[in-house]
Amino acid sequence: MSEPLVIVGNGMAAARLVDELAKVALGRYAIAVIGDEPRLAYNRVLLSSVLAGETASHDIELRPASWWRDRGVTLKYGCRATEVDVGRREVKIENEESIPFSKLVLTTGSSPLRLNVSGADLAGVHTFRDSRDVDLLLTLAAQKKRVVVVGGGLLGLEAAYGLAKAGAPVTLVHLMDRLMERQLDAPAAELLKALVERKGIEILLNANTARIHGETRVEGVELTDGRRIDADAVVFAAGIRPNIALAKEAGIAVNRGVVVDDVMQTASPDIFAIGECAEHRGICYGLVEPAYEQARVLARHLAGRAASYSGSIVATNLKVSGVSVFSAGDFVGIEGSETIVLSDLNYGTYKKLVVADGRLTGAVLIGDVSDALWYLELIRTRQPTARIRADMMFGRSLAIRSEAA
Amino acid sequence: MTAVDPHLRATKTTCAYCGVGCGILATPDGRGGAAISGDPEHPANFGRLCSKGSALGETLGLENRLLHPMIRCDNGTMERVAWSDALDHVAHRFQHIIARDGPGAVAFYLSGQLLTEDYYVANKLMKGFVGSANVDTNSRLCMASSVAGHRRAFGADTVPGCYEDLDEADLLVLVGSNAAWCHPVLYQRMLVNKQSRGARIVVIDPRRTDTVGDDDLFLGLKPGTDTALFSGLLVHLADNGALDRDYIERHTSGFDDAMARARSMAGSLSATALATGLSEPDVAAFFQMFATTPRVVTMYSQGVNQSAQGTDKVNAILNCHLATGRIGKPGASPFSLTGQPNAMGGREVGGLANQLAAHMGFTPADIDRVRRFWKAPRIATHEGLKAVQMFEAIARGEIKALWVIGTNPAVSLPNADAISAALKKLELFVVSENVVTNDTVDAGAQVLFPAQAWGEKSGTVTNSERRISRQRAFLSSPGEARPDWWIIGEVAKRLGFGAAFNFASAADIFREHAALSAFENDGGRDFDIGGLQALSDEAFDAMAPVQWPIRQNAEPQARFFAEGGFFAGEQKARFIAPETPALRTETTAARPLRLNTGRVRDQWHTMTRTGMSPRLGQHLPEPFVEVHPDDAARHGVADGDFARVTTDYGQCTLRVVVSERQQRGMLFAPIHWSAVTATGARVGSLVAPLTDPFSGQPENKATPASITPYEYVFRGFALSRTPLELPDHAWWARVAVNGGHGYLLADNADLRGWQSWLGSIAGDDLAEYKDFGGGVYRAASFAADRIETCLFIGPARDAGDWNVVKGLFAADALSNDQRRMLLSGKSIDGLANAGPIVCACFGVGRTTICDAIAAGARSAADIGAKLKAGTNCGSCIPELKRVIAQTAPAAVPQQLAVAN
Repeated sequence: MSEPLVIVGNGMAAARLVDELAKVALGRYAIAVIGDEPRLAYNRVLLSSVLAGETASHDIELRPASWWRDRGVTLKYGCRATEVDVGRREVKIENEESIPFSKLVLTTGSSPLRLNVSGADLAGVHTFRDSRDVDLLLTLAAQKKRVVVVGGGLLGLEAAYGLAKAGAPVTLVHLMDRLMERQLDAPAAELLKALVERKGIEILLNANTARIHGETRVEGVELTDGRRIDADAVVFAAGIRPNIALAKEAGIAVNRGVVVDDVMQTASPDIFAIGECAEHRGICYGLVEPAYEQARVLARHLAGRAASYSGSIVATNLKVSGVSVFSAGDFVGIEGSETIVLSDLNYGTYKKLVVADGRLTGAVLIGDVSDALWYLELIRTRQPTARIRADMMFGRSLAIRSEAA
Repeated sequence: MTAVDPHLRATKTTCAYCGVGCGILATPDGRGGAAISGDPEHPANFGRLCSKGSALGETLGLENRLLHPMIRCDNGTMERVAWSDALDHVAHRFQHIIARDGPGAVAFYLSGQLLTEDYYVANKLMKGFVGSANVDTNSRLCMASSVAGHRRAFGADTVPGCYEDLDEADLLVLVGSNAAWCHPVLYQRMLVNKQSRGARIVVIDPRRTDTVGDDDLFLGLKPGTDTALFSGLLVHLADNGALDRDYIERHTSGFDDAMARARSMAGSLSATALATGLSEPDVAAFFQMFATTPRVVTMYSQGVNQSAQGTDKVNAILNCHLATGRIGKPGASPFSLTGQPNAMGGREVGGLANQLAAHMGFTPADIDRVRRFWKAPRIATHEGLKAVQMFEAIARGEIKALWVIGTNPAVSLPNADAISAALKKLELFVVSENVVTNDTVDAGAQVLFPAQAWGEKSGTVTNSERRISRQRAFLSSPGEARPDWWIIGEVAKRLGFGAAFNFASAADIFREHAALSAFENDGGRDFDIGGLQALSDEAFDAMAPVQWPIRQNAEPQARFFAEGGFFAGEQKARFIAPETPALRTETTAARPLRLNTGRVRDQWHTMTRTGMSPRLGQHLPEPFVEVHPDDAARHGVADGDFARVTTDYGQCTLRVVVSERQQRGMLFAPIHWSAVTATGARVGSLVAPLTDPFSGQPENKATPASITPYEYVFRGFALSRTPLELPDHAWWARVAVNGGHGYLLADNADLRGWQSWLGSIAGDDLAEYKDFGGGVYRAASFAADRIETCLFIGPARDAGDWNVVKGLFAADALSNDQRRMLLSGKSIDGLANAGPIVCACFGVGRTTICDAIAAGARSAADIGAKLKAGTNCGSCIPELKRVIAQTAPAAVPQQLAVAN
């Protein structure tokens, strides 16, 4: 008999876990996936692409129904798990019977933060997290509604770009003095701002939202410095919060996220968590790459193999608003490190490498990201880079040629 | 080659550079430039040109050209004035100084690059009308020792042989001549002889130059010992029955004294070897070759001439040819190779302080003859001051007015920093020039006259083999540039000598010059071109290259002296007993080395013309000092690093070239760089101003010197469309490059200083690479896709590849990849290039994806299967689909075509 394994959450982490399990432990578990979104798991990263009209909504499905079926997965989407009974090893599902588990994996993801300001509950205040949000935003854009996006991180920029491409006049307000401050240094952020502004998006920095005006619907946004922006809609994209309610109520240890060890197991035996809801060594990751690494480790562990997750060196490696952006490691340059910078701003390029102790420790790239993965490898492997320092900025092939010469 | 309008006709002219005097066909392109090729009919070169001559077309631009007369204002700046004002001013000031201090208080300093007609007018004005012989010329630095040697031996400044002798000789001896670099077309002629007829070549030079072929005999003698070598040769010839007793008897005098001196100096092979530092077998081999080869030409150049015993060296050589009668015979002659295009023409008009005119000196008869011919009111009656002494008199304040025409003495004279200082003392300092700035102009010239340049001026020049050729104009004069003869004539008229300077054309002047050469010349003077004195203007214009003498009603004559007929007493040549060789200076513990100076292949003089050619800038772009490996080790200098070379007169900072070709104890540095082309590379400032007692030529090749390493932390280069004003702290050398101006740099200042310097000159479209911790700063500014300015500074090993960046700078537009990689300073040829990244997760580029599509991939899944692209986060899948949509259809017709 296969052991019943239940996955709560039907996102990218869940899909990857099933994929990995199929590779290392096919048939060992009878898998059930419970998700509240009313559709097959899709690539959340591509939601901005859907919003921008670059991809059709159905095209972002990760796997067809047959794929799940072929792997013997019981898919329960559009179903909400309401409770985990740790003692009885059951998951309760709204309006349905509970299902038992031998192993439980939480992949509940995260939710967008809503700012605690007056007017946050008005009609026309949205978030940008799931497929349903995208449908609503597309409607706004189609009506050329004026939209204020709150938050100049990755999510906010993606929302702003998608909305602008879909036809909405967009103003992005950001609390900090630069965009994507957790991934970019000041010059990179400045270049990104210039490149995003070229796409017709207005960007306000040092912009702290004070309140949202409106009787019943959004009419404008007021900032703490008194500036006021007329708007028909507001999109909150100012951070996410791991979804931990289910775990917390079940008495599973939580902190900011569901606390897991190096095999992704929670404090409760046989209950695991991966993806954005998990907190490993104090870190909740908000990116897909660590979730995939975690899925791989967990699958091996569940297959009875030795596996251990020791955290991810986070790299941002994406197109943000159509601009290639890469950031990894110590991108600012802590004391004792040196920076090497290549900038060709009119050409849309900014590259910074941080070296310390003869090794590459961080990198920020805007525009030209051809060698991003090589830099990431150098950062992760801590290879000595002193010999290639002169050419490292200009890419792997040049550095290899020079080293060989 | 530049494309040329077929309607534009080629003009026959002669090269602007050395004394070979090659014929050139210049075809104007109608836009101020011209296509240059060798004139196949000119007997000096038969169509061949050297690197410098071939690149003349790159030197015709008007950048840095002086286009209008200028006068220095009270605030030190130069302001444009009308011709009449400038001429009036100069004439008035000359007049005043001559009236107050006498004619000895004024001087002209001329150039071997002037045309004969210009030279003639200047010489006539000073010697016949101002009444001073203070006319000297940069030829003093070049072949004055040959002139003096010729005159002592032959009684006249006669070059006995001709270029055909180089074709017909069986032994070619080069003494102190790097002909491969300095007279390349003649050298090629010698190589043809060597290959086709088996002629042997012997090179005598302290430095193993490119003139030495693998199978040539090279005699790397100690500097200044040439006289001992040729005295030893004279002894050897006598002791081995190789003398022409009959020739000596009939056509010479003084043989016994000369032979006695030779025996006392170098009476045997071993004594010769000892005196010269050569091995006995090498000496013996040379002597035997010379003794047994009747057809021998001995060529000599600056290594002989630029010496405090240069005249004796010349005579020691001439003695050997006179003693064997090998002079003026086909394939047998001594041969002075002159450095400048018209050094010979200058000698012919008498434009040297120790000549009067037309190969006449300061004998009472000559003075009287010239006075009558010129109807001269105040003819000079004694020799004037030769170059080095002339500038010493300027420094002492004795000469108060100087007119420099077509030369750059603040660079080229010995002790050049003292020359610059002396020039500042002048009450009147006039310069006729092509360029608006050079070290001489910048030394405080008060009046600048814009002279016509090569290609604009018209007249005659004479080459090393006495061949007079026309230099013709093929470009119109830019701005208000005028012929030098016109400028001098206008000043003469304003001094009240209008009647004697009423020349309407160069042809007018040439006819008078020719007439003077024949005036009362019954064959007693070698220089006679009386046959040309009645040339019509048309005939002058059409004049084909012709060798002098051209006596009226006489047969042409290619050579002199085969049957005697010298111009000294009793028509006999004189053997000269030379002094024992001894350099004028001694090395000391503080100055343990000797500095030799010379030229490089692709530059000429002070680079005011060759410095404009990108092609010529490629060969040796930086000022350098060559040093033997043992000396380099001893003095702690390394190849490629910098060194300070110091003499009692000055200091230079030069790149070090360590080379076995250099003799131990000797340094070599090229003469070309000046304050406008480099910092700290005015090699003339190092040279001792010690001169030969007969010729007045300075000893430029043996100044005691020391060398010490000088460290620059940073090296690099800059390229710009417009000339750059570099920071004062930097060492730099300017190099002409395609599309603008290049500067090779070295520096010790902070990199941030360079960043702010560049920021102050570059535009907004700026790319920068900063690795301050690694000591690197590179930047480029752009206008559209073209580089405007770029700067590469870094440690020596990491400054960037000058040639690669120069190539990109020459381009009108950079491709995306070129711009992306420009600041690497490295060639991207052969580098794998995946193109712009599409799949960030797996680093898959557009080019790689297109290759996969071309190989058959038709969906994102296909591509994912092949390249993994799109299989991780999947965010590139939309772009993958777009790439397929854009790229794949192109493959369809191809497939159809195949199917059909």
